Amino acid sequence: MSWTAKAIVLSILVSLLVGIDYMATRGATADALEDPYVKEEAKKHGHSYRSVYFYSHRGGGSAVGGK
Amino acid sequence: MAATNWKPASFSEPRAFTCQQCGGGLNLRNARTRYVVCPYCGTQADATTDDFKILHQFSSPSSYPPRSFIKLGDEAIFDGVRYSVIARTVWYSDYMELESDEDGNKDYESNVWQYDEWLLLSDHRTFRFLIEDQEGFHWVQEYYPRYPSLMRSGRSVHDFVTGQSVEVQEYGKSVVKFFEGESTYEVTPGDEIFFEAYRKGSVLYTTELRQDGHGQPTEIEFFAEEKVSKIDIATGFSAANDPEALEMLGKANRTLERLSFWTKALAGTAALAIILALVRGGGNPTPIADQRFSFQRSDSIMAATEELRLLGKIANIPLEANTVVDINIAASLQELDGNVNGMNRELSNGSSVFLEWQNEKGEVISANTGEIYNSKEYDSEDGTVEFSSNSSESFERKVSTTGKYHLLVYATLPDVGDATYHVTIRKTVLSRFYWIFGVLTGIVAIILWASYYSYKKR
Repeated sequence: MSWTAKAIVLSILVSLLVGIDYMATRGATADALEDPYVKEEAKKHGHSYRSVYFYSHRGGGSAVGGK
Repeated sequence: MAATNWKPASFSEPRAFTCQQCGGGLNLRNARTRYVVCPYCGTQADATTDDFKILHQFSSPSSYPPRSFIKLGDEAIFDGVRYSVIARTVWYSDYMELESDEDGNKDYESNVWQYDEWLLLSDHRTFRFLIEDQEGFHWVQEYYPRYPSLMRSGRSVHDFVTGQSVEVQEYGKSVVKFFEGESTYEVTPGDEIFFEAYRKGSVLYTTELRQDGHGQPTEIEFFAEEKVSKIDIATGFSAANDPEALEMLGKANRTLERLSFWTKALAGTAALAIILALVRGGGNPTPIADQRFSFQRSDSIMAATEELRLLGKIANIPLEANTVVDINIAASLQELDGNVNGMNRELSNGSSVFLEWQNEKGEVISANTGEIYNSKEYDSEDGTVEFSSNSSESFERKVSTTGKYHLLVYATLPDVGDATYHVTIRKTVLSRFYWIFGVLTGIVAIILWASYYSYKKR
């Protein structure tokens, strides 16, 4: 394998790693801090949006069952 | 002492054979050769006569071309000893082989196989057989067993070394299809041998039997057969400057070099990704915000545990654009101490949390909900008590605009007791990317590493 081929392969791997680093630091799969849906709901319903949002989105409901 | 240069007087220098049929030439290496089959036209000649009298015409060599670079007259060096290739027999085997089915039951299955048997003669006048088939190469050496097994002994034979009974791996018949080169006895297409073999480790031990026309045994021989890699064989022939072997070895070495380079490159990348995951994945050790909020039962003006109550606010959190923050809320709730049995199926203490983000102007921009709990549950089916708990919730958010933000912390009153909620906000990165990348490149590196070794040994 020539040095050119080796250099190409290494630069591909380094580019991949840089790409991964970019996605990891920019939060490629994280939710945005500004959520248009919540913003809209809060504008429309004022404070009462909270109870609507809360009861429709909260998780682990069954774990606190049996009260 | 000049023992290595010693040669018995009876072995002369190579004798030139010229085929009376086609004029093809071959150097005969073995002074005791009695028959020679021309590799160009398949004519069998009497090597004991000065003019190589024609005896028979065998099938055309073009029907049985060599499988690789090895050909009659080639030289090779193995274990420091120089060898000449003096003959090739093409055998066709019709045999039974012990196979295991899916359930692990063993049975003999009928198989056919064709292979080339090269005969190599050393400078010290010793012989070595090299088997070449579609799977590669095997060395075959004559073996002198302490406990010889004779043929037709059923499905088990004596281990040559220990004498213990071992399972026969394969048994059957091989027939000569083609022969070229020199031999001390007359080899004719159609000649048969019967064989029985068992495997021990990487070695196949074989008993071979020849019979006369009346089915009476005339000769029994024992052999040990062991795989040898194509690269080792090419190395042996390359050492004697065989151009085709040198070319094959060069190609193999280039492939090995490529595999080795890729293995190292990917293993290095995997290591780098995993180091990044470990170093950066933990998040910044110093939190941007760290605050505790307590919820005392006596403080509650609400009787209902389902109502959200504002516990407090972390105001003016400075966040830069293009950062990822990890918001963590943790609380330890009072564990319920009750007898969980068939009568009282579940005991749980929980509190729901609600985190609301506001921008500088106090506008709501996003929210997250979670559940903190511990519970004991009785399973009436198997009578066990199952514990489950979640003492914290974490959320990842990415920031697109630099600014100051407020986090409002709400929770529902725990079912039992008081609770203190600990909220931390840290700058972080999504370490799962490094992990996934690291593990994937690591797997590819392992596959390449395995291919490197299997290529080397094939």
